[in-house]
Amino acid sequence: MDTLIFGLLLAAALVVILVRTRWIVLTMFFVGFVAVGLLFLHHVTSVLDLSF
Amino acid sequence: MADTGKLTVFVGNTRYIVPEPKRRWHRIMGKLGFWAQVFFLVAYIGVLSTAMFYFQFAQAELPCPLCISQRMGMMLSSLGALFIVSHSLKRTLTPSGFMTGLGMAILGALLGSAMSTRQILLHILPGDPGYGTAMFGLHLYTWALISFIVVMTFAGVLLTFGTEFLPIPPVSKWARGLVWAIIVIFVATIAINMVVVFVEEGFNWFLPDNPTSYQLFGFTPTPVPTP
Repeated sequence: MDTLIFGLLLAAALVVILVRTRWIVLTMFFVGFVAVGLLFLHHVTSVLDLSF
Repeated sequence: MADTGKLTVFVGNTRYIVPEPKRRWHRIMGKLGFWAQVFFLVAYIGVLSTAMFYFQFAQAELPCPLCISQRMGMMLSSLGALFIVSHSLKRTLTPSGFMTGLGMAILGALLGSAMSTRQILLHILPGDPGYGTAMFGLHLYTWALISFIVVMTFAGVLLTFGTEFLPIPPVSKWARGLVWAIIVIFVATIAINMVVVFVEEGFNWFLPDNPTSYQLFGFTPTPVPTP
């Protein structure tokens, strides 16, 4: 999954450089953002034993 | 669209040429705005390369899943600077595009700071040695949080000025070539990270919590003892 997300970020970087249309750039950015966020949530496996 | 060398704004289907600022002070701020974004990219290229080439390869410390996700946060955040710098060079950056780039930088940094905060809290109890080697007394995830806070502050300060720091790109060939080279190096950094994480993860969906070997080859590196 990490490899695929890096691939997605690589595609997003190329779109950011080459494409001028802002909504396409933003769509790629948010797809990458959500993918990275979901990967992070997957790795949050326990509740911290701390008092806040 | 042909590069006319002029900043243009589209309102509907009408293209307007935006005159460059005449006042010397405004031109200086515009140039400062451009090179600040380039520095943003260079700084994260440096951070990502140090993490990979020094800590991962030279020190043989395998990055954990949270470390990898923080690298992704840095890349997401840098996409904002990449957008501003590349479109500024192509003279297609509008004031709204400038703010889009800064917004992307803030959102990426916000996500990255959530990840680094989580990792700091995992190791915050007294007696916990932390994950990996410390650099200048702080672990890499703590440095990552500091970098994300710096990015959010940087973008926030630029946004308070509105368009005063709207980048003015350089005109000299060597300066433009240098910035394009930095852009290529940034893209290459993402590509190299993709290959390296594939070697570490192999054909598994996720990395283990405490990786000890490169799963594609079954190779276990020997960590370099700290002096």
